[in-house]
Amino acid sequence: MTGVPRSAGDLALDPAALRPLLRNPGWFDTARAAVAADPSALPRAFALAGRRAGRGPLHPATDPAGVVHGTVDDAARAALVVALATVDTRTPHHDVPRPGTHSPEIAATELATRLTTLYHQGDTAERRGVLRALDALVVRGSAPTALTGHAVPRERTAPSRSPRTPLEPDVPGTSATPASSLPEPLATAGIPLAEDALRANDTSLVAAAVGPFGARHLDAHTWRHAVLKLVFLGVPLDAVAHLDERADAELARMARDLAAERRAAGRDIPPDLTRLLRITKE
Amino acid sequence: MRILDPHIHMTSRTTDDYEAMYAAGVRAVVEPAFWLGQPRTSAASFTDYFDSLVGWERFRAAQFGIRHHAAIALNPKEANDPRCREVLTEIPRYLLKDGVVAVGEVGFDSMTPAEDEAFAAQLELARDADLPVLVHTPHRDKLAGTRRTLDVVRESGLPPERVLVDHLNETTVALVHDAGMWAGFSVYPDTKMDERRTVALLREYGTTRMIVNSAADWGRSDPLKTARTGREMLAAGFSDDDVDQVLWRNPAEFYGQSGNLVLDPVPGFVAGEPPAPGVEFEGSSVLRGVRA
Repeated sequence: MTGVPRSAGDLALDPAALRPLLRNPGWFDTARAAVAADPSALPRAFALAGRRAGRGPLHPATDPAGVVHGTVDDAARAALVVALATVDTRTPHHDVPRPGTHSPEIAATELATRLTTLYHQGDTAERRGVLRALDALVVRGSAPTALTGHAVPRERTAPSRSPRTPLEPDVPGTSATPASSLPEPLATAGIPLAEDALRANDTSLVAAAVGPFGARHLDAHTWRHAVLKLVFLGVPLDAVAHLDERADAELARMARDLAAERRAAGRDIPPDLTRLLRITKE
Repeated sequence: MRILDPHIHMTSRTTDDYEAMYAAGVRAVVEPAFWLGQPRTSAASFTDYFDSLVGWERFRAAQFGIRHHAAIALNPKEANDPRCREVLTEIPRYLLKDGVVAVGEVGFDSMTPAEDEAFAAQLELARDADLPVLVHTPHRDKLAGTRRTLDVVRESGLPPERVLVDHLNETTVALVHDAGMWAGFSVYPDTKMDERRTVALLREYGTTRMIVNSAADWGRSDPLKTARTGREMLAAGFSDDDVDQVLWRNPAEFYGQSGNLVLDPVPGFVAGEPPAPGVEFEGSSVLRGVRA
């Protein structure tokens, strides 16, 4: 992984590395403690993160708008969620046990509900924060004991799809999963949020939906369209986590068709499209 | 000439307007929530609109190098519809959002009891959220409406410097100016104020706490009226510094009271190339493509 810039989701797991990038590190410490003590503090901290933490890009030299790898506030928001997830799920005996929270599964359900509300009531930056938080939880990998649940299979059935459209079967090699999977309630809640972001035209939202969470949990059809959409939007494919691992023959075919379309129109082939054309998987 | 248009409804405008505004010197705007011409029928219709003001419209403006901010409120006209009034409970969470620099537009349309109630309630929300307020004054019965407006503001206990009273003219400016509030002038092609009359009032009342906007929307209006008023000021003998005060520093000071105004240049934006297809920064392409 050397040489790969750390995205907002990665930095959220490393508060010591994130802290010096923040406008007001004291706020960050206080907010994480507040969220850990009382989850209802999260929405306000989420809304204020841009003003307190700053909004600059994490990698200004290569990503001046913070679209590809995220922004300082993206990482701060994701870290707030990690702080909450750690409390909600890693402490088996929360000092004030709320009814129904004894089961680890329910703790993940609660977190899923909170993330869904944060996303739907959030502005663009807050929505990115939720998506980057899902990335952080996936990257954290060895999910805490309380978060272990049944992973959702990567390829979902898509009942709404026309039966006349032949579905490209997913490559069965899911054993080579590019990232660990989240417990079922979090994955189930996160997938529609990522799909919502992928319908947006705001480039920063689309880019935030193709991180490690998207790589692990989006179905193949949705994921391929997300990659192609980034090419249309002109967002560098460096935004896509595990691109080489997940790229498949069907994505290569889509890229070839797009390249043919652009040549026919007398338009350039952008470098990222060329990158997709090099996919040689069967 | 640098311009902060403190009242403009960009949702109703085209990308051509954004380009022309940037070329004329507009670097920041505030878009207050208002009605859409077609009445809304539910609170959900408002929340989608508010989401768009703090989301899509801000993104769109940034593609053209313009910083976009919002003021959030239930407008006076729709305060009369009980189906819409329910949105009042949703407004506090929007007042926390980044880039929300005021409560507005609030005020009176037909001066009904329902408007009165929504106005007072939202002044209270502004106090709780520590935000300034953009107040619309009515088109019909304007003088009486403005007097009534100032009474409601005084009853709220909000400090006068936190209040911008808009759509003023020759008959209403003195009331607002004397009350220590900010005076706003909407410069339109044929209604409200025009450039010459606005400049005459700036001569008479000075440039302190005076604010000029285009209030451009879906009606006949002109998003460059701020710049045109600036040129009219220069032609009338005002200095560049006077113009800068009225078109930039005054609105920046008023909305800056929110602590939520961002006026530095949009990162990654290259002037003259909106929306910048093919922009490269040290070999890395950013925001370069078409809309998919």
